[in-house]
Amino acid sequence: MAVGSMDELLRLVDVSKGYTRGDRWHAVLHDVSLRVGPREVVAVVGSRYEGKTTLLRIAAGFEHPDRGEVWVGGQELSKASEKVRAVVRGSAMAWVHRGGSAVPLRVMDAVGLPLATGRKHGRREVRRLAAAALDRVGVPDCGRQHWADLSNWERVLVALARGIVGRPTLMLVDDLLDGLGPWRTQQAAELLTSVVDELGCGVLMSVSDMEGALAADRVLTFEQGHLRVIAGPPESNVVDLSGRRHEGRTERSA
Amino acid sequence: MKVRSGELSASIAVLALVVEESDSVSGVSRRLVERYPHARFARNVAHASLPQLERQGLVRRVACGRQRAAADRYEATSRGVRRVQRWLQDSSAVLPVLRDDLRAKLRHVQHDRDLGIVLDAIKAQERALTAEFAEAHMRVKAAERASRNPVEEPDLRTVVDLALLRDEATLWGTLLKRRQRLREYLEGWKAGGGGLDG
Repeated sequence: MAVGSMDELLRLVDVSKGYTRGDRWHAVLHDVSLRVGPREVVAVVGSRYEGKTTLLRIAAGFEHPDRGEVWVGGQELSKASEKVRAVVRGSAMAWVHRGGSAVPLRVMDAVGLPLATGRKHGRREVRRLAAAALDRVGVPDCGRQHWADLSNWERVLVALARGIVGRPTLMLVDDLLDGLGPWRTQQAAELLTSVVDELGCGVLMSVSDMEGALAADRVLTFEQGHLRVIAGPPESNVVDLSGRRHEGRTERSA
Repeated sequence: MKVRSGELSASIAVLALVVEESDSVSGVSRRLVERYPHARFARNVAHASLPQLERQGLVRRVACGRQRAAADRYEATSRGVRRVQRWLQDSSAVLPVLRDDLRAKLRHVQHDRDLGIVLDAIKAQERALTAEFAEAHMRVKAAERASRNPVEEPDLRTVVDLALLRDEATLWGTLLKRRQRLREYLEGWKAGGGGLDG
């Protein structure tokens, strides 16, 4: 399989990233490689500051890696201009998180926002699609409310509605399933899995606890900045505990 | 029948299986391993427990194996059923026994060399926990697939079994992350110039 082929919705190849704090350099990601295919949910489990969100932001093209390649649906994002990255984000990706909008929008408008910014749909169509997305996740009556009025659980569902409204091929899900407790985590996981099946999209998600990670087909964790698979099918180019590289089933080729 | 605090005793595990279903000694042995794969009961625990439970009037032998005791078949008496019901209703407020080998070893570490050895032991356990988590994750996924039925809601047994599988996977995964963090903390301390040898 070629790097960045259409069968791979997302592929990271030897991505490294670090930050300077004061006069010290902090490496966050070391030669991280992973792939996400259609209808595949991949979870990266770790505590805060381990680099989960940095990984997702690099995958989304919000941040550039210091080294390595990021491919989204055949497009090399790591070398693309901001304009191209914005187009890829707008057309193929959804960033799903529980945070509200900076602007105090009604839920219906916040959910429709990813469509409205693309200017492909009229206002009425955006509202219709937003209402359908809210209905799909089980909160059809939340549309008129504001974010601040929502319960924690409703925010999870609305965030998911905002994620699916544009029918993305890749969802980057940031800490959505954290701290929900086992029952709600399971409900959210089942909903996520069912919309992934419907849309045929892939998911890379960050989670802090193992309950959330069980929703995934493949579970990865950080080991001092390296990623390793701890459950699910093996991944190529992922460093295991002893520092060896796995020879995975997916091949790395030009 | 005395139960150690927070721990499932072998005899109650055996009795509960016989209450669930009349079975032979070898059948109970097999189900014990299937039901509690991580309990590490002795291999002969059903052979040893069932005659003892019979002497206590909790089970009765309903068929004799011709030449092998393993083929002896037992069923629960009404007293045995009541005993299991009482066990189910017992308070579980007692904490599980915490007798963790690695934590105990760390308490006895006095030299850098010892710490290095224990850190290697933690790594080995991380590998074992990773394998266990991967297995448990696979079991969860298989059970989820099996329980998906668009027509009927899953029954109580299916729901409880799935919840237990998820709980077990979460347990191994959480333990893995705990071990990893403990090791990284100690390695970080060593790398930062900390040492035990002064």
